[in-house]
This record gives sequence, C-alpha cells and structure tokens, in this order.
Amino acid sequence: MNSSERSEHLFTEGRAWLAAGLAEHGSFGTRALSLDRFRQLGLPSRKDESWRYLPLKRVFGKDLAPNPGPEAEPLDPRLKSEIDSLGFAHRLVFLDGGYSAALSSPEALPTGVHLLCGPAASADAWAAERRAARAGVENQGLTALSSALAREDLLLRISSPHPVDLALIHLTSASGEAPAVFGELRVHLTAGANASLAQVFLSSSESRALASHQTLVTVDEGGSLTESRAVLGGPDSSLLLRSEVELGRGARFTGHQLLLRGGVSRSELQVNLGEAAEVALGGLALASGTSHAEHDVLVHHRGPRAKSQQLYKTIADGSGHTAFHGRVIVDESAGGAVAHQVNRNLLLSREAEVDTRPQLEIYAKEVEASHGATVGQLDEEQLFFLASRGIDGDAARAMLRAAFVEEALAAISPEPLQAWSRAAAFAALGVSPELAGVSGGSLDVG
Amino acid sequence: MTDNVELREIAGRDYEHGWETKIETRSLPPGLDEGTIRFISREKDEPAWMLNWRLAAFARWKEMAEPNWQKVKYPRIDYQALSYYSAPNTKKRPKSLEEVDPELLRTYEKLGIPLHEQATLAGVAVDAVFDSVSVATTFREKLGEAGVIFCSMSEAVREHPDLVRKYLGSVVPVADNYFAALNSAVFSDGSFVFIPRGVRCPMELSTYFRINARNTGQFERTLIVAEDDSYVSYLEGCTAPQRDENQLHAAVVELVAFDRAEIKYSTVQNWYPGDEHGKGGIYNFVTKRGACRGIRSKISWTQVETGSAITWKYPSCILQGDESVGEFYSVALTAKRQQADTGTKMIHIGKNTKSTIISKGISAAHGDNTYRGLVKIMPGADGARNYTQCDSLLLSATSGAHTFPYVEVRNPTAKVEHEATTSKISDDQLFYLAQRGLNEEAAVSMIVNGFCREVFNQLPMEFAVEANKLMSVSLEGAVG
Amino acid sequence: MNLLEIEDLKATIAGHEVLRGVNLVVPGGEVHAVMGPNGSGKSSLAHVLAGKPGYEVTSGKVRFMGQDLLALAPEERAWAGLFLAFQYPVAIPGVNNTYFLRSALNAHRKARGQDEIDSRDLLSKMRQIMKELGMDPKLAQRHVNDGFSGGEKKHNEVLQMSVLEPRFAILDETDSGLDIDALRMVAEGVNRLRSPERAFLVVTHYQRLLDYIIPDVVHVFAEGRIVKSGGKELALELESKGYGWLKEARP
Repeated sequence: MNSSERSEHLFTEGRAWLAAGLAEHGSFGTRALSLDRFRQLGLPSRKDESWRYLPLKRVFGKDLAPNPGPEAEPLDPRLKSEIDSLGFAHRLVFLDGGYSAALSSPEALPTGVHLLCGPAASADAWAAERRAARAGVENQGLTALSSALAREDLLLRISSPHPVDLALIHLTSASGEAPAVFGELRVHLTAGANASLAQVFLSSSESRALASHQTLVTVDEGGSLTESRAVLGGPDSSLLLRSEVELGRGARFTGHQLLLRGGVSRSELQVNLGEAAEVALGGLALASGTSHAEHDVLVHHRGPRAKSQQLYKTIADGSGHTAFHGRVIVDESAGGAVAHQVNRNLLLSREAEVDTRPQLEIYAKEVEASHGATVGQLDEEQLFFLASRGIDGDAARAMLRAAFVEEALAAISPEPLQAWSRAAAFAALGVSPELAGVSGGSLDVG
Repeated sequence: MTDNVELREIAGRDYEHGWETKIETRSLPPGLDEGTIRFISREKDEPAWMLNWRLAAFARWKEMAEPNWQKVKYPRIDYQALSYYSAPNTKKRPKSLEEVDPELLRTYEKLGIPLHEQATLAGVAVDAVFDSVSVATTFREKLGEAGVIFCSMSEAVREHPDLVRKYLGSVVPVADNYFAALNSAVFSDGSFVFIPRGVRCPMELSTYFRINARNTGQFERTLIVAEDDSYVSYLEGCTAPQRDENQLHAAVVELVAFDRAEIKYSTVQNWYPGDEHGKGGIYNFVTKRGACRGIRSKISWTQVETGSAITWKYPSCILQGDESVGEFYSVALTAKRQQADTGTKMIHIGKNTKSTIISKGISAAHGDNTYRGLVKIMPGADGARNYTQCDSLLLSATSGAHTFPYVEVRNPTAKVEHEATTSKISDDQLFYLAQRGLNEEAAVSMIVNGFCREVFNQLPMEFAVEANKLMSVSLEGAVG
Repeated sequence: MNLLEIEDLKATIAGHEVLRGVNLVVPGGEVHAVMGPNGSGKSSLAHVLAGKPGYEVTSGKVRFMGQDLLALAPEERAWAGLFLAFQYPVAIPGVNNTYFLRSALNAHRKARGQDEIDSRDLLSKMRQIMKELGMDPKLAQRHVNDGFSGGEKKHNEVLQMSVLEPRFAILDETDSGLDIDALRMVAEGVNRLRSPERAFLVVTHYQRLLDYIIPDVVHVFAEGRIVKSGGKELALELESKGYGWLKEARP
C-alpha cells in the first residue's frame, strides 16, 4: 500500500470501529466529521514542514488499524512495577487511551477535581461546544484522526483555587503487528484554578503500536497550570503526543516535556496566549541507539502584552536523531509581546544527527523577540578547565553531560517524577547515577 | 510615529530612477514557445550546442511547477503574456563606445554610471546591460593585459565557447528550480568573468542592469570563474522605470572558485518596488550560487536589497574544498507593500569549512520581510563552523518580520551557532537623538544605517555610500 | 629543592611564536612575580605550564618536582600539584560549585592513592576557608562561575586553590579588575598557603598586588622571554619607569 491507500484503509477501518462501538454516543457526530477531515488531509507526509525530519516510513509505513480494545488485564508486570515505582499519591491511569479504574489509585481525587469518562464527558455542555468548534476543521490529518478515534471521551475539570497535585499515566500495551492507539483528554481549569499535573507516557517494551495522544487544555482567566510530562517508549514504539493549551487573560502555564526513551517520540505543543498570559516552557530530547526524538513547539501570541520563554535541549548519540522545530508567532493584535527561545543541542557521535528550526513570525511592532540555537559538542574550554583541576576526560565528559540535562530536569515537579526522570535520562546517556548531585540541590555548605 | 503631509509627499517621489528611455527597440511580441527560444539564439548568433542546451532546459521547465513554499503572495504570472526579448534597434553590434547609441550612453549617465572610461570611477570596469542585451563593456583592454576576460555573456558564448560549455550550469543545474530552468531556456545576456591562475583582478568589475521596455522579462545570466590563487571583486546594480504593471526578472548567477581563489560578489538591488498600494514593481526571482571547489577558496556574497515588489533569492555557497569559506552579508528593506523572502544556504562538505551569515531585515509600512536560510553540515565536514546572526527591525505596526532558519548537522566535530532578534527602535535611542536635535526621520535613518553597518562595511566604498543614500530614500515617509 | 625548572622553553600557538626561550628556576618556599607589558607572553607561559591544548612546545624542558612536566596530561599535572588560577575562568552551567570541588579533590586523592574525602569534612573545610577569607558563602551553592562577577570568579579561583592545596600555584593576572578588598583577599589566600614546600608564580601587570604578596624574585617578561630579574625593588622601579627603558637597555 502507498501512503494514500494506507490513509484510506485507516479511514475505512476507523468508520467500522466507530459504528460498532460509539454509534449511540453523544460525540458520534463530531467524531464522524473529524474522520472525514482526516480523509481529506491524510497521514503526515514529507511535504508537511512540521513533519520534515520525522522518519515517516518507520512510523506510518505499515498497515495501521485502530486497536480493537485494551488488553485483558493483568497488565505487563514490568509496566505495573514501573507505575508503582513512580509513587504518586493520586494517580489516574489510562490504558490504550481509556480510563482504567483498576490501575488508578483508590484514594478519592482531591477536592475540586472531577474526571468525567465516556457518556458523562460527551454530555458535558462545555466540552461539547469545544468539540463541535474543532470537528472537521482540524489542520492536521493526525489531529483529526485522533479526535475521531480516541478510545474514550475524557474530561478532567479542576476548579480548586488551592494548588492540587495530580499524576496522569498513559500506558500503551496494545500488541499485534500494527495497532494504532488513540487517546484524547480534555483538561479544563476554571477561572482562578491552580493545578500541577505530572503526565507520564509509557509503552510496554514489546509493543509495536503507534500511539497518538492529545491533551487539550483550557485555562480560564487567572488560572495557573504546571505540567511536566515524561515520555518513555519501547524500542519499537512510536509515541506521538500533541498538547494544545489555551490561555485566557492573565492565565499562566509552565510546561516541561521530556523525551527520554523510545523508538520514535514526538511531542507537539501549541500554546495560545491571551492578553497578559504568561508561559514558560522547557524540554529535553535524548536519542541514542537508533531512536528519534523531536519537539515541535508553537507559541502563538494572540492577545497583547503576553510573555513567553522557552529552553529546549537535545542530545543525539549513537545513531540517534533529534530535531527541534520551534515557532513563535506574534499577531498584529499582540503588541507588547516578549518572546524568547533558546535551543541547545549536543551531537556526540558520527552516526547521529541534529536538526533544528527555530522560527519567528512577527506581525506586531511592539515586540521584543529572540531565538538562539547551537549545535556542537562538549565545550573544550570547560573540559580543559576541569582537567586543570584534576578531573580527567571520561569523568569530565560525564559531568558535563549530566550538567547539560540537569538544567531541564531541575524544573520538573513533583519530586518523584524528577528523580524518576533523572534516573531514566542518566541511564539513556550512560551516566552514573552518582552524578545525580551535579547541579547541587541537596549539597549544603551554609 | 510621524504623520505629516510633507513626508507623504516625499514618499510618492522616492524612486529616483523611475523614468523611461525613449528608444526604438527590436522586441518579440508576448509569448513563449520553442520559436521564441530559436529567435533569441539566432539573434545572438549562437552555436548549435547553445540552442540545444536552451531547448532541453525549456523541455524541463514545461514539466515543472512554480514553487509555493516561500512566504510571498502574488497573482499568478501568465508566462505567455510576457515578452522575452527586447533590444535597442541598432543595425550592427557596436564595436566600441563610439558606436553606441548616444541615447543609451545618456541613460547610463543619468543613472550615475558614465560609460566613457575617462569619466568613470577610477578602478571600476562596467558591463552595461539594457533589457536583453549588453550595450557596452568598459576597460576591456586594460583587463585583457592582465589576462582577465570580462565581457557580455552573448559574446562569451561566441568567443570563449569552451569555457562557457565547461562551467555554464555546473553550479546551478538546468532544472535546479522553476525560475532557473526558465532562465536557462530564455536568458538573453549578462556578464562573463574569467580570472586566470594567479591573477588578482586589477580593478573592480561591475554590471549595471537596466530594465526599460514594457511587459518584458529580464533573464540575465552571469558566470564567474576564478582559477587557483586568483581574486576578483564584482558588483552589480539594478534599476527599472516606474510602471503600473509588474515585471519579471529571473536571473541566474554561478560562481566557481578553485584553490585559494576568492570571489567577492556585491549587489545593490534597486529595482522599482511598486507604489504604496502595491501597484507595479519588479518580481525578482533569482538563483545565485557559488561553488568553493578548491582548498581554502572563498566566496563572499554581500547584498543590499531595497527594491522590487517581491524578492526571492538565496545566494548560496557549496563549501566543497577543505578549509573553504562562505560568507553572506545581507540587508533587506521592505517598505510600501514590498515582500522579501531571502537568505542563504551554506552546504559544508569539505573539512574545516567555515561560514558566516549576517542578515539584517528592516520592515516598514506594509512590508513583509523573511529570512530563510539553511546551514547543512555533511558527515565528512570535520571541524566545520557556522555562525549566523539574523536581526530584524520593525518600523511599523503593519509590517512583518520573520526568521526561518534550518540547521542540519551530521558531524559531531562541527559547531553551529544561530542567533536572531526582532525588535523595534527603542524609544530611548529616539529620545537621545531628539535631545541632540535630530528629528524623528533623521533619527530613524541614522539608527537604521547603524543597524546595517556590519553589512555596509563589506561593500566597496562607492557602493557603501550609494547604499547609505538608498536606505534613507527608501525610508522616507515609511516610518510610522 | 627546586620545584620548577624551565630550560630554554619555546612554544607557538597557531604558528605564532609566543615563548622564545624562557629560563626560570623556582625553589620551594619562594614567590616569583612575572611582570611585563601586554602581549609579552606572560599568560602563554601560564597556559603552556598547565598544558592548554592549542599550544605547541617547539623546544626546551620543564621539570616539575623532578618529573618531565611536558609529558603529562593537564589533569596529571594537576594531580602532581600544579594549579593555575585562570585570568578568565570559564563558566560551567549546571555544575554545582561544591559538587565540582569535591570531584576535583577526590580525583587528586585517588591519584595519590588516598580515600575519598568525607563530604562533611570537605564542607566544613570550605566553610572555614570562606569565612577566613570573607567570601560570600552562597558562592559554594552556585554553578561554577555561571553568572559570576569578575571579582566573584577570582574569589572562586582562590577558594579552589585553598581546597586543593597545590605545591605550585600560578596566578595569571588574578588581580586584574579587582577592588582593594578583593585584592587583599586574593593575597591573603596566597599568604596563608605559603610554606617551604610550596611555591608561587604571580603573573601581574601592576606592582599593587606585590604590596600584599611580597615576592622573593621579580622577573620582567618581554617578547616571549625573561629580559631582567631582580629583587622586589625591581617591581617598584618598573612602576615608576614603565617598561620602555628595558627595551632601550637591551642590546
């Protein structure tokens, strides 16, 4: 099959899947519209600038079909122990795109947090309105497809003005040759709400599935959201994440995306800033072996006087490939914008590759915008300085690698996710866990 | 900012080269087919190989599609509605300046390019191209003594066929892109430069392009070859009359530098930009590329782009020779309704190759300015280095400034650094200058010239002065 | 015993000759000052002794406590007891200062066959040094030289020297750009380490630092070699006469 035949195949299979499982569902109509939209747009191709560097054949070059349903439990014991090792008090677990009560922590959710699943989520008027506004006018085929075939309608509403901590774990365990798993979660922070989310995307080591997860976030006026996400796939997995964040007037968003392991991982993030909204983003992508990890970030200043800053880092080693595509758009109506972006990349081996495309699109006059990108190796001056203090080659290189990723890790909250991400990052880089203190933290001299 | 009537009036008068030369011409009617190409080739007494080369290019062009990835908007071009050849109607080709139509000489004099050798700027040889043909080339004898060939492309095809055959299309292949293919089929004239081994060209070489005829496309072709250990500095300038319709200019420039050779290529592009409502102006779709084939060879592009309704050009360097150097210095100003999508490609192939990119974009009125660049480090390019700095200055709330760099690195000993900023002129600077007695327009002009300084410094002296003046004129009335 | 013996040392960087036959002997217990105009090769000498990549030694010998110094890698020179206080210390974002010092000290100890230092011992040692020299204790918590002022960077060099306790320390224009209090602090850092087993090479532009670190010998550097040596009074003579008279005096 060629690419358009594959798209058509997915469309046909998807329509059958929808009719069989969700025909009676409140969201059936919008899902059908989205599926038609997918048929128009098709799967991503080389012509899509934003997919330019992704190994498309590896991800989409197979006869994908919607995964029929979650695997019967019990779950892969390794996945289970990985979830348990995270040690979150409140955890919501989603298996192949659907909510799993059995795997989630039994404690009641914090006050002011509600999770609506299935018909309850589709019946929510707020969510229905947003769904209707998007359906059929998506601008990417995969986005439309994921909305159409998401396993379950899910809505997480947070209205607590006091900070709440919550962990969301998304597992992909679908087996078989080419299953496609779709998940879509809406998150709604009502006016003035305050939350900190830890999202973990895990794929079982055997899974060859393509998993596409969308998180659609709205933060109403004056709300504040912090989200840290970590992605750990298996060697043959393809994890494609998309996150859209809508920030109302004066709302704040702090987001961190870590791509730590996996065959192909891609994190797409789009943040739309209303008047005086503020966003701080950070990210890390590690690719060794033959893996590919990429960030695609769009920060769109729509309202006046909004502020954004970004720091994205990548390391490519072995035959790994990392890519960064960061776009900042400042509308004519978004005067007084401050937008800064930094992208730093380390290229450590002959077979590895780093690609970066930082982009500024400015239509307003009152703007202070900048971006900087570097690709290089560990700094020779720093290595000499360390050598002159008696720290030799291998130790110095390990120290500088650890320090490079620490800058991205240090901002991760909550603490268990930070420690767990650090362990995964150091393992991926071949850096000893003893270097965990390289940036300080627990060291005290005062 | 400023909104006074006087300034608006100046804005309407600001293109000083908008007049037309009344001269009898020999022109083709609009339309493009094989017959057009055969006519052009016959008109220039070309050998058969040249005609066949053109026809092959035309066949490729017909299969190609006009690119649409660039960030510029314009109505579809009807390629059959253009005339592909226009030349002053002289009986025979002039052998010396004495035989050139005095009306043409007056035209160049009016443009500030006197062609009589005693009147020219000392140390600058000029090839003057009027619509589809070269009308004069100065200082040929003096250059000939040094072994330098500097002549029109038409003449080179006849007089130096071996050199032309060897290098034409060797850097920009016939089907490289839509506009290059079109140029390969219908190119009319341009300049040819050959600097032999070990020669440092004794004077600056320069080509002055003038579009005069209505409804005519200009398709010039320039080829510069610098053999081992040679050096040449080449300048080009361009103007066109003020007309209500858009005119197409699709040029191809190829540079080849061998071991330790250096080519410095400077452009001051001042084609008619159209009026403040976007009426008229040149569509400038140009392919410029240099190949650093030899070790330690160097190609340096400097461009000041203030004219044209649309500019689409990416002067590039293929850094093939070990330790070769590529440079790109650019100022692009878009005012009125001008659109520019310009930048460079630096392809690092050889070891220890170095490239520097300095780009300054200025967006005023309704101008839209895009930097688009590629830095590509191939696996064998050990020790490659690139430094890129792109700065954009916004002078109006209705203009746009965009930066689209692509960085692709496949060698772990390479270092690439890219920095970009976008901002408006700071109120502090304006206030400081106002306190020292400069009005807003003068202050903006001064600050903009300072912003472009790094690039202007790369230009030969006379061009730098010209560029400075051009910026001030282009900015008149555009601030606000 | 002589700690350092330099014999006819010549070196180039990028094909440019920067050292043109340096001869210098520094016995234990002494402080030698090296003065001279800008570009005379003072900093190059410091870099060559520390083994900075890019310099090529074209002839000559350097013996450091009986060993062939030039045969050692930069870290081996450090382990052997050579310390360079850099004129422009590099920043290392992401690496905590205390973590860095502990790693450096343990690398020294390991090379000498000693056990790792107990973290608490190191911390109390650092605390004590910082208190005695009047440094801001926050220095220990920040990333190595990252965002440091010029003065803070020099404080940090002195802190590292004090913790690593080298046998031979080179101070490369450590006084440049310092105010009088910072200058005293640097001098105090050197003076408290002075002992018969240690020696110092103080590279400086100005006589001022030598009011606080009294040198045993003063050398004048010009065009890549030592052109005059003398006692501490030579520094005062240079201060009043400048360097010009030396050039005229030379054959």
